[in-house]
Amino acid sequence: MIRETDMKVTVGELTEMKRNGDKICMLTAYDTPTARLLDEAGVDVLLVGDSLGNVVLGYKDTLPVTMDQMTHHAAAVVRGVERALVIFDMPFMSYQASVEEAVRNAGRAIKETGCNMVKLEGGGRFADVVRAMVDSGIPVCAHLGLTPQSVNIIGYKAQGKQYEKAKEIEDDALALQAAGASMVVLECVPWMLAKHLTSILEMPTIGIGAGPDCDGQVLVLHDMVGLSGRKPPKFVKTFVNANALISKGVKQYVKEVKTSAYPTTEHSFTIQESIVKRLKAAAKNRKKK
Amino acid sequence: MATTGKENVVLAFGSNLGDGKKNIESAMAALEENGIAIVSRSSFYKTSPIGNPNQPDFINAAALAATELPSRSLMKLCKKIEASMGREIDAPRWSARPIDIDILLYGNHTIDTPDLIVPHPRMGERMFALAPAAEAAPHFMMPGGVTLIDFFNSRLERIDFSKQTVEKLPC
Repeated sequence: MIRETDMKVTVGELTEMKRNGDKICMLTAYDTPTARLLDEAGVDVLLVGDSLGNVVLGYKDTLPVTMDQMTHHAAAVVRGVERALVIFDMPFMSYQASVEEAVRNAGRAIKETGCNMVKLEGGGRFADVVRAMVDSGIPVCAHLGLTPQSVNIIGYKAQGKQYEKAKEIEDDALALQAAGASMVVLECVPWMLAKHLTSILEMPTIGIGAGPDCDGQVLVLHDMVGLSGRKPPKFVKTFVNANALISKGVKQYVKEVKTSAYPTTEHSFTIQESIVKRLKAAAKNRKKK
Repeated sequence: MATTGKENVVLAFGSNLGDGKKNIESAMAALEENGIAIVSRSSFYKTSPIGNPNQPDFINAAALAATELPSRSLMKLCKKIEASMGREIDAPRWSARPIDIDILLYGNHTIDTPDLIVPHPRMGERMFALAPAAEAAPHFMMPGGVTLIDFFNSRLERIDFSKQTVEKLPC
């Protein structure tokens, strides 16, 4: 159901959407115009993902992404948003070393960008980190299953296929919820497991490659509009091929500039003929001297 | 793996004397001049010294490299570069140094000799080496069949790193 109000989405509302059975719609964004576009199209939550690294900054994975880069892009996203809730993805080594550093970086994320929530990858071992962030007033989104800071993203292997692994994901989810997490992203988790987790957790579950029963869905925008330049993983549906559209437009532009078909005077500004005459006359005089 | 004669290795760099970033860049360049191919490198990290706290912060980084050199020759080359950049051979173990180059991993080999132990025996306790290494070569297969990033994550569960300050710097 598309919400009719234009009010800012809050953390509390996400839980309420889960209770009411309203699906939560989430996409990644890394800049202002894209954020504005998604916000106006009715996306509830924008994730400034550390996928920034491989999707738009040209790194081979997400690991080199720094707090400075995330802050730079997250602030840009927040400037484009009126309604959507914005999540700041904590990059590699911004929260792993110690609880203090994690809270300091999360605080910086919220304060310097205006994001509403931070997300961090990892299981129950980060419960202390989550609790400390929540105690400091910072809402946290957890991230379980396939976590790209941890494994080879090219593989996109589903996680939690054996009982032990499935139980571990369940334990992690419960531990992180108990620590105060407001939401959890489930990545590449078998759909039956995602369905089970969705039914036992109070916090909303957001699936990516985790089946239809999660409380919400998230995709990398560039994947679902065909702009990532990579073969999208199995769980991605290409909703529109923006790559083809942009490429077509750009090729046309190149052709028209090269053949002087664009621009015409129609696309240009005019001044009075007399001014041009005076300029020409002055140029002629300079030549004579 | 050994059939091509090329081994993938993970090297750790540290500097806390002079311009750390520049020293590490120079060390990497010196390795390349000697035929070591740097395949990928981590960000720079600012880390607090351990052992002797009365010395300046370190700049650390790691690189995934490919070499045809046997492990001992690679170690000698690293020592030679350290010396040429001004590290005194007999300097005390924990003292400030312009450059320190450690072989963390040499393919999936386990080496245990008096002057070279690989995998580096203390890499699992040292966030300043482990984090850059995991960034530079996350999918590197270690002896024992575990990837470096999985090793990194498993160490986070077991070791209290809270006393070690490790800050990733903007590239």
